[in-house]
Amino acid sequence: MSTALETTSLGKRYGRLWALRDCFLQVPAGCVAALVGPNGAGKTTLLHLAVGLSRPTTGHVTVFGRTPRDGTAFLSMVGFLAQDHPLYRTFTVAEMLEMGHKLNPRWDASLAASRLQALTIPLEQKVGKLSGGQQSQVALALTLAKRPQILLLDEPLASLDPLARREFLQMLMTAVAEDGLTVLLSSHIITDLERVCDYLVILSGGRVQLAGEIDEISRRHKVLSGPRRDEEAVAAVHNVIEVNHTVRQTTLLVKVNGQLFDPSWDVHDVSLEDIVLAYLGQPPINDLAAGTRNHVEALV
Amino acid sequence: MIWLTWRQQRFEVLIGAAVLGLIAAALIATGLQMAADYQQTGVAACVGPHPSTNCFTIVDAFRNRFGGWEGTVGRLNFLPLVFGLLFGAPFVLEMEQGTYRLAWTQSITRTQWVAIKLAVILGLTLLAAGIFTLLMTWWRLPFDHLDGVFNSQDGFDFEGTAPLSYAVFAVTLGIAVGTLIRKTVPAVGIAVAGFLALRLSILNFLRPHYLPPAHMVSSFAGPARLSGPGRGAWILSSGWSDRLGHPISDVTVIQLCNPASFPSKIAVFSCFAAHHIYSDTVYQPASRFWLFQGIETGIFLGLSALLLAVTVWWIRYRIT
Repeated sequence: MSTALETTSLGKRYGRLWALRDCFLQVPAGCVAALVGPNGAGKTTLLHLAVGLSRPTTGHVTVFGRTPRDGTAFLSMVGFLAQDHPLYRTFTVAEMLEMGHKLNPRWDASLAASRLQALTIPLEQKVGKLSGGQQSQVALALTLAKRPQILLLDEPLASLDPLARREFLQMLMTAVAEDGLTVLLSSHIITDLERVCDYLVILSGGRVQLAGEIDEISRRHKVLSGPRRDEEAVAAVHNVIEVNHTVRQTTLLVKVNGQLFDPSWDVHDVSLEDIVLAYLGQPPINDLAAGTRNHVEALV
Repeated sequence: MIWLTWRQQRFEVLIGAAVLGLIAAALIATGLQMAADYQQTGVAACVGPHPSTNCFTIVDAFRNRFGGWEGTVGRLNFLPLVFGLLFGAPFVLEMEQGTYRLAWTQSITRTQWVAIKLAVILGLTLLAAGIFTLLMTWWRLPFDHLDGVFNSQDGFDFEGTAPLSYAVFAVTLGIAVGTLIRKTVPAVGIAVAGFLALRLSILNFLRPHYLPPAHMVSSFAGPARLSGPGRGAWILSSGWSDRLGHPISDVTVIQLCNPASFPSKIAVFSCFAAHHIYSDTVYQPASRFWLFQGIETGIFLGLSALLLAVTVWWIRYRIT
């Protein structure tokens, strides 16, 4: 499978603070990838670097082999929807589409128009008069009609109500199936995304905590429970992500390397949400010294 | 991109056109009346090579009638600043509202974006300031003939290339500050303060000294005192001096030749001549008008170029 988006040693520093550091990612083409992390984890920074809105302090990012330095050739390939989905508020919807037409070589006017028509958003309405949800739909229609090869969406679900979320995700699935689009979308929750995403990147404290295909992640993460004991023996072979001791019992969430042989553990499957929470719940590795707990490993 | 810029500037352009239209209507109405009066009452003939004896009265009447208008119209001095801020505002608003992120993630580089936007904005600013300058130059013709375009500050501020450079400086200052701080209202405030500070200090402290001023030391003995520094020169100051141009204070002059103790003007002048008191006029010759215009335009355009460079650099490398 070819790589859609690749980052190499990517880092961004604001003043003394690293918003993103040592980021190595290879998002496969044709997948829907979720970029999950708490607020301030560096999700927006990563997306801004990927679309060329900001320049990396270290490393570089390529999208289908091109970098943001390639200018128009790069930009026409990447569709980006910012978190606050900025639009020209004094423009009518039709004028926004006209802007898209003027500024994009592969503009698909009928796609944008039919999408907005299906959502019953009037073209002659001023953008500023639309509801928040409608505005994000207009912004999304603009992004799609650009006919990009990759969609970068920053918190696209945040401003949508539950029904609109479902529609949005269905639309996304259709676009991926029809056009072979690659999608990277950020969110601070995984629940909504679980059904549509097949790739997951967990970001915390400016670092990638986990990246890989969701099937693989689910398969390799297990909950072990058994009589109370030290987790050292397990940690020698596997990556222990989370440890819970009660008076009598020990529960471990581990990333399994190879086989689990110790029969004294009960082994259970674990939901993706719990995996994400486990990774976010532990203190993020923020400097190289903490790298001894080596669970930053891409499961490609 | 030109379409987008035009669409974003449309409202401001309409306001600018309306303001310019109103001012043009007022200037044309008053200007026609003034020009007619200038011809009919004989002021035009007085400015010519053979003025008649009653010219003093004729010119005085004209000044009484229209001097107030000149003062009123002179208040339009701030108009290049207004045009600059008006046309620069949508750019700053875009930086404040973050919609530039939308534009920069279409298939156009931010360098193309900023180049086209600035070109359109500067073009509009020059157009508005140019029309205004032409109108003012026509309106002020009678006064320029009477006083010389150089000797009245208004002539220099409203005519030639200088007013265009003021407008360009205002718009580039507003845009540069707005790009750096990305807040429209404070940016406008800073731009107004910066513009006025620079414009006034150049007007009062720098412009009179672009070249060392000339002195004309003339004696009060004989007819030589009638000759001045030449028609249309910019008189900076006039006072007393000895024959070599060393200044003599008013107090000394009054001690030596108190006008109150002499029966006539001629007697006072003889006293001046007897005490070797000369009149000393400090001035810039009329021939330097375009040189001074060029210097002042160069200063403002040079600063504008610097501000544009800062803006473009900041947009290319510092904004995310």
